Amino acid sequence: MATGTVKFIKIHKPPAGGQDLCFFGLVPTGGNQAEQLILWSSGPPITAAEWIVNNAILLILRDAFANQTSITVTTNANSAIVTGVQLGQP
Amino acid sequence: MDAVSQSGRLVYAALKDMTEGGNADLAKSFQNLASELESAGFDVLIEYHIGDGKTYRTFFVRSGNGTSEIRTESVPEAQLRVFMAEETWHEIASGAVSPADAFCDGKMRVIGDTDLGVRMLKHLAGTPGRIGIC
Repeated sequence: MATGTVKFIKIHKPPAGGQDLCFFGLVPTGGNQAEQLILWSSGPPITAAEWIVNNAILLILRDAFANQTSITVTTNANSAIVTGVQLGQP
Repeated sequence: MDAVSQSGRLVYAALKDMTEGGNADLAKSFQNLASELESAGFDVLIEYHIGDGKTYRTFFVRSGNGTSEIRTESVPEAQLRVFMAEETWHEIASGAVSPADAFCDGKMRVIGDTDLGVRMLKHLAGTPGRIGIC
């Protein structure tokens, strides 16, 4: 789990073949180097519901980037693939 | 045009073998990496954290001014920090898996100057394929 601000968001959709992915940089609170985190990358086809969740997370990231508000991101150990994003406190 | 695997993923370049055919231990494989970086004239400070997500062994790799070294300590001025399991490092260091595939498959975390990582891989690549992710 890491808390910080969004430095960039990048979505890559190659025109033919290749890898479809979305990743972003998170600068941890008190740090100055961004961690590269993956929101999605091409693999087995995902469901419509999963795409909706991905887009919901993307909206949170965009809002956090635009307002430079902190988010908390969860991943599995040693993984850059995001399993959850939190904006604000529950 | 970049080569694409049967799974539809771009083919990424893997490292030259840093494990001496699987005979090098963890420290020796990082020493081999440091030597390769020194030979290529890199001036870099990189930290590798090898572990299971709870406990890590740290290998600080420095190359510059015609010398190179590894240390088993954390250094605040590291330009790039990489976290992964020991098994993943062995796969990468032996050239079996590309660093980009390990990252995209959720087997690695990267903090810091990724452009530096791309420049390093251009010199350390042992197989053809794309270097950067995008």
